[in-house]
Amino acid sequence: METQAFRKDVEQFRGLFKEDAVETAKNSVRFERRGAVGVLVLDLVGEKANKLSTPIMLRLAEVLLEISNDTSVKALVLISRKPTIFIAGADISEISKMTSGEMKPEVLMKLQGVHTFLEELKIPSIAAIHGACMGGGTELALSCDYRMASDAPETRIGLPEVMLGIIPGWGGTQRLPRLIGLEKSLDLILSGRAVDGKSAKKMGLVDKVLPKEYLEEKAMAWAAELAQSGKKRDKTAQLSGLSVEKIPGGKWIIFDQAKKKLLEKTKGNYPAPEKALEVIRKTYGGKLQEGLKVEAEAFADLLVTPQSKNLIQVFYLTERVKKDKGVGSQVVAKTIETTAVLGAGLMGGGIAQLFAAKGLRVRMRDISWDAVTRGYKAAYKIFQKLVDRRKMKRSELDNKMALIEGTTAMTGFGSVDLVVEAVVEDLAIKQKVFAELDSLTKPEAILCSNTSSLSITSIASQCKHPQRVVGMHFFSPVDRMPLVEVIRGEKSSDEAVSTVFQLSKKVGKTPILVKDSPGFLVNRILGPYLNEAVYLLVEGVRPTVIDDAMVKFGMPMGPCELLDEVGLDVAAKVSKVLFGAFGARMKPPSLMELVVTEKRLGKKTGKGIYEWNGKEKIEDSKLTAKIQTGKASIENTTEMIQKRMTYLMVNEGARCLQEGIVRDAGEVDIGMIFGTGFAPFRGGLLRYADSVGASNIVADLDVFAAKIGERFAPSDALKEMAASGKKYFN
Amino acid sequence: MKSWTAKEQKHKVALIAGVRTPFAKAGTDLKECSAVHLGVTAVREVMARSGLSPAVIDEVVFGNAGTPVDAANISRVIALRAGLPQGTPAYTVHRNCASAMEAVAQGCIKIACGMAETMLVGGTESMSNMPLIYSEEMKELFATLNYAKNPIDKVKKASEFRPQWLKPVVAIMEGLSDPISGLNMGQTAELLARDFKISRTEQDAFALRSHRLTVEAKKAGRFDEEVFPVIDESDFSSCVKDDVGPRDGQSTEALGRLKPFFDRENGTVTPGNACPITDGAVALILMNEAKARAEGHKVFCTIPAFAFTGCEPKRMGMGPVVSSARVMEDTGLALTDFQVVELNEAFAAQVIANIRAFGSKSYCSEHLGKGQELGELNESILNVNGGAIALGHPVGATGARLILTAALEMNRKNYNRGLATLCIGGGQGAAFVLERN
Repeated sequence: METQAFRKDVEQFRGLFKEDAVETAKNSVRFERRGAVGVLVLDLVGEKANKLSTPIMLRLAEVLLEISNDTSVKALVLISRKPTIFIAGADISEISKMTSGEMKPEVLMKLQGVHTFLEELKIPSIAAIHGACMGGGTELALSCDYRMASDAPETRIGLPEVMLGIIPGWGGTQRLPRLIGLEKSLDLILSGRAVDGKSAKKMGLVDKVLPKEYLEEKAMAWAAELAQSGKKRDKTAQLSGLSVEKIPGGKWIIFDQAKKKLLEKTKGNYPAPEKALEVIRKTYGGKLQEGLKVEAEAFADLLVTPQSKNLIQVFYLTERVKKDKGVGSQVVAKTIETTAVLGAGLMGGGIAQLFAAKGLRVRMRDISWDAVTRGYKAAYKIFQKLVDRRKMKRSELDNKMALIEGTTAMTGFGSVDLVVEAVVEDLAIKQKVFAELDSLTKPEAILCSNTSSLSITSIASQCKHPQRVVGMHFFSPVDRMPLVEVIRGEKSSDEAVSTVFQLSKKVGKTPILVKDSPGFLVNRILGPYLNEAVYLLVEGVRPTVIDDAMVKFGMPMGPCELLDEVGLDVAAKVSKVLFGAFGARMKPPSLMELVVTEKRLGKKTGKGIYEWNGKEKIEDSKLTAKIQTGKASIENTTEMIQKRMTYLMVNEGARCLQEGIVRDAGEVDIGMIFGTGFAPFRGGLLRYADSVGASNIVADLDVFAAKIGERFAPSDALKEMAASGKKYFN
Repeated sequence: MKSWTAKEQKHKVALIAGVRTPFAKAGTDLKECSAVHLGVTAVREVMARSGLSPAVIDEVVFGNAGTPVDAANISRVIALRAGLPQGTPAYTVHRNCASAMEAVAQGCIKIACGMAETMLVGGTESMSNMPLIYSEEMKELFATLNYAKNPIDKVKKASEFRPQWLKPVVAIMEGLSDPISGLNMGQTAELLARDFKISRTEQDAFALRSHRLTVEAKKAGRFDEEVFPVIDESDFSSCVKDDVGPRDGQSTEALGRLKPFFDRENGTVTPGNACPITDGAVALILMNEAKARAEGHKVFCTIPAFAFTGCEPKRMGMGPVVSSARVMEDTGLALTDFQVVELNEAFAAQVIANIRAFGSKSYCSEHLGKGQELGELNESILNVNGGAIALGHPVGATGARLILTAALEMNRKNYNRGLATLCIGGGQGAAFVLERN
């Protein structure tokens, strides 16, 4: 790259930024000298993480220009001063500025030049990586000649751009495949997953891995050697080891396989990884400069896609949850060390496993040892899978399992900090259980109910200290579903709510605060959706047709499969509660009862809407015929099925928002994405409503209400939205 | 050595909680569970029952005889896995059959002198998991292979290998033999049968009694408080709730059909009238008595005295009478002062020999230097809930079980004094005095 041209670009950009931004950048990227070795120290002023904003990139460019002019600098080391972060990536706020048109992508594109300039420096360079090294950070490291990483668990190296609907734009799609080969680089780029130092070394992403305490010292020593030898990396070297791509035609096999696997996963709903694959396919083996150009164009294309905007929105909503304490006041959440779970069934056992996995002691109580043993077995199976995948050692499994203390007595509850009740959904039983807990536990212990449908205020009504009773509603399967609805009863204290919020985050879940109202948020919105799936069956639509339509829409699994997974008995119970609370629009189809009385309870009994052969589902034609009692009132095309199913959810979501079940539209969306897997690329339920337009949805709902049934009648909340012409998100 | 008595005690020691796992014959229901897992199960439960915060435990001492290769200081592994703080020290003690009693002794001494206020003690043993050891020849071969300088040397060395070298040494058989006398434990029992002229019939009758009383105790719910279930460690898919050993239908005929095991020609000791090798664990919490009462803990009993004594290794089974005599002399107590006696049933012959010795003027004068017999050890107070012949004898854990069983019986019957005593392989005995006020 021409130094002169680069210098010109840099000077042109300098005018774009305010004085103080330039000054901050100067202090954030420092250049230090240790003899012949130059050290670029990254330490963003006033920030916890190093992020590559444009002012920072500009500052980097300036320092690199200085270095290129100074012949006494013989080698360069890049290092971070943040304790757990190398470089967290590009500044996402700038990306969203670009998507909104506030900033031109060309600026970022020109800054691609910084990476190339670093790569083409005449002196050798080393990236010394400890902590998170993501996206733009990884791309900067890839532009160095050598990389070394710490073996600490905080060290994670990856290119997660596709998760935000974009692709690496600073040479990641070019330099990574060239460095580690096609197979491994496609794995990382298409999935967005990050690897630790040891795996990075194994795949050739870094040259050395070492304890973090030695990182700087060894980097300096290596740089001093390189300063002597002046040895740059040999970019012409062949990939070492065996690889499919070395076979003639092997490359194309890899590309085809990757595409097939990708589409299986994304159903064509996520353009970013497809684009990344296309870029690599086009450019792999070609000239770097040309490849960079193709990458830049693809990056710019993706920036303006709705998927990218939606995924970035989800990212921000998630970030917001991280800061949310669930209460407005400044109360301090209690530290929870020991816990107890009442009930060792699907939910109780799942919660016990989750707590143990995160290092919390948990007493798991059920009425019989058979039930307790089943809880243990379920937990063990989850841990054993990790051992099988070599993500956990057997000794760790033993340590985790030892955290679960099974019992059939109520002993030991006096010393626990928090209890989660997960017994049968029966108000009288739960009230009794809470009254007992109230007297057995220490007065400051927090008492939670995992109820999915009962009122927390009623559950707590027999307690002397109802202020410590809170709803903590997990979703099944507990180890995989990220959402926790934290339900505030009438008398729940701020301290109790914030403690449950903090604990939820500690165990890796995403909490949202929900009002104590039937079905809370997620089940209430999901109720009409699942009912509608059964109404469609009644109209003669085959379950696979319904499921395929919704998977295509972007749901992780179809509603019929979901019903079988949850258990039709459980679903019937919840839908009855909802019907009782909300009346006609939530009336469960009578079929739901039929299926339950016939003991077709779902996966657990081997038969539900489908017949189950292990993980394989078989459409049962006999059942399908039996179910079809009505006839189609409209033509149930894929599009119509999707509309019927999703518009009911939008309608209910609008009501929830208006009733203040959650605090804002963002929480409705977070709830649906993390509680049901609602298509993240659509940004969430209400964001999806925005994209269709409330007035269009209201119009369709009016038609459905006339032709299919009253349950579709648009809510006042949605009608108001349509009339105002406003959107849920601006 | 003298007994540990009130003279050595600044503080009194109270037993405030105790629980054991089921005891299961080695190779049966608990065979997949490590000694660590058994210990952890007992410790977690005893902690929960006590209601104590783990932080108040000053130290953990566990007895264990067959040290697992992956947990040399098994106390420490149990303590950490059961959730005790990293700052709480732990050590393991070994006194063969009295290892757990030694752990209790350590707890008593430390509380009495004021070093500690609360001690978590007990014992654990997985005799199912005792290792098989390579023969000396095989070990030698491995060592030389390691040091061989080049491949040719290695091949040369390896060619010396003989298949019979692979025959393992069974650690458990070695462990149950005494190198000084050269006798297996069963052989020491045969010796007592000869000394005291104890017939096969008498031994079998005692074994039958053990099964009968154990089964009765179980049926009457007297083990409910004592025993806490274990979840199988291999895949956590089953639960062991009850002792595996006691036989409801045990009969004189069935016992009579068994062949003598240690002396096939003239012997009287059979697997039926000896205790089986067994898996199990016991955990107890000891606390400074004043503290325990001030904090409102249930005090099952206090431990005012104990004695450890030595005896002839060939006749190790006489340990109980020797150690009981010592502790009675040092405390001034007579046999009539005890309402319950737990005397470990290593072998029926050995228990009967002790009963005879307690009541024999000549034995007491010859071996204990007494002017008269210690007294009649009445069967109505001896092992009233059965014993090790039915329950089994997990070597490192039994000592604590005897104390726990005696203490619970004292509480049920409102007795004020008990004795727990056992014989120790290698020729020792231990005796603990338990009191309620």
